[in-house]
Amino acid sequence: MFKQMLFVNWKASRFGLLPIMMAAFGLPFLAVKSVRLGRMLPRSDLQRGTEILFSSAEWAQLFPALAVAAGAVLALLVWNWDHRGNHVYPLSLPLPRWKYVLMKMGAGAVLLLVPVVALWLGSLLAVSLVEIPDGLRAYPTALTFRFLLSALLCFAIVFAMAAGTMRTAVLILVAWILLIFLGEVLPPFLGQLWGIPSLEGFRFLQWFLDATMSWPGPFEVLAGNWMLIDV
Amino acid sequence: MTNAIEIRGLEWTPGEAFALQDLNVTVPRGAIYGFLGPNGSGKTSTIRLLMGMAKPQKGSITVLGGRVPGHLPENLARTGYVPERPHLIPTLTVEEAIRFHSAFYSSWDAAWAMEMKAAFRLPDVTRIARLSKGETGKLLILLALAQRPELLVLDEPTDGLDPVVRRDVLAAVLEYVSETEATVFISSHLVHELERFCDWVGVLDNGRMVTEMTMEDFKKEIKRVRVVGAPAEFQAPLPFDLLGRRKSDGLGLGESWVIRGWRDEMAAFFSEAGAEVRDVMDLDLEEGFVELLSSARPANKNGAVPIGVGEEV
Repeated sequence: MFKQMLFVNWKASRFGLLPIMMAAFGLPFLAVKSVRLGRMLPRSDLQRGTEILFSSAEWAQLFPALAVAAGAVLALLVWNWDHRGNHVYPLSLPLPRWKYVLMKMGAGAVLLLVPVVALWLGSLLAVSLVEIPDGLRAYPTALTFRFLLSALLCFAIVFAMAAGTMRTAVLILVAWILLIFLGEVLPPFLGQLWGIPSLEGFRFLQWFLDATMSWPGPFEVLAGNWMLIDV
Repeated sequence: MTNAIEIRGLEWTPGEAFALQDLNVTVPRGAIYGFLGPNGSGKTSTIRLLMGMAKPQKGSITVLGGRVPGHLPENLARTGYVPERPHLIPTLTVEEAIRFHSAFYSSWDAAWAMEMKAAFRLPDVTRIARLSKGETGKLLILLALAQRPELLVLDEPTDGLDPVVRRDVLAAVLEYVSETEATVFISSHLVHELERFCDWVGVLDNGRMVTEMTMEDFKKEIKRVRVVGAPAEFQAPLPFDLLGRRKSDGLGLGESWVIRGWRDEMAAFFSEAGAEVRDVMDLDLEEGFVELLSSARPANKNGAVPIGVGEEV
């Protein structure tokens, strides 16, 4: 049953996965590109090391962005035909709904391995083309693992949101916008009213980002170190 | 448990424009039950509730002895379903769709599925999105039958199909039913089509069940009676349900009455009022259906069955 579910979701998402897979494979090459271009020129180890670090840092921001895109695109694609068919077919199948959703989520998670493996192979290949000076190290597997966790996190969130109706998704979005608005406006206003300076300076969005993007927040994995080559 | 489907006091209001109201349906096991009604009467809504795709506000639904939604997966494993609109995954080929569907049914008859695929001339490698309407209809029937269900729920399965495909589809269903004595719950507004093989009939209109009876009773009970010399008003109450009354077409031969619950001895009622019954004619299902609906609609609105000389239905 799971095999069939996996196959169906592969068919539903393969064209969306293809560009992500290609990007995942190609991005590590871009991260070391300037190094490879410059390696014919005479350089000291220090100069080369600096160049490598700069190049790696320059492209590092794109890895989490790609992980987010991979998770989100896949989550939307695996629900696509369910929504288009008004969920009639899945609902007519003889299995509990939680089991169907779990199988679909499992299939999506397995399919996420496609860009993950592409990234891993791309990273291994890219770092093998670069002569890394002493003091620096390549982290293809660690980067891939971070990519996998980030993509899975994003997949799970978007999958849960996409499982509901458009109405639910809009409600969640509106609730978020409202929360952010109130969080940004209300504390400074109340701080001024009651004369509490700490409340006056409170910014909800900043607090939320700090809380979630730094350890032990759930999105810390996105904000961590994404360098392919580092010290 | 003698009934394949039992719906009791069902109420469901999906929006302001439409509501299923106090709906009662009884489908005996082994019956071929024609669920009739005009477009928008609530047939598909009832079926969606039956299949557990929506939750009623009131009432109970029992399918093959199991409550809906409590026993839903067990019920669905024993139910073949053909929805009103094709619901299959458009990117799959015919072969892939069959393989995917079969994975969910332990009772799947792979050999028979292959036989049907060949008989229906369904192409293996064509994507569902590229199938013709007829081919899609055949594939849906194949998927519903090859799981060897005890109950078939068919929602307008032949709507929009050409006569040849319609015949093929219905023949496959009838062959299966004759072999297994499965129950069929088939909705349609193509009344003449159901008349040939249904043994039970339920008529739904505007979310309410107008009537539910065996096909035999339906045909026996609803008659067109030609009456000459009938007064505009009768002193005594009518001993039957009058569904419609109008002047006969043609040569001034009195009035045409459509009556439910007719017995031959009721002719005396007309004699006592100075009228004469000239003819009693059977109605086919379609005529009976139209008359039933015509009588039910004003009755729903005004609470009275319409009577009136010259009233057109």
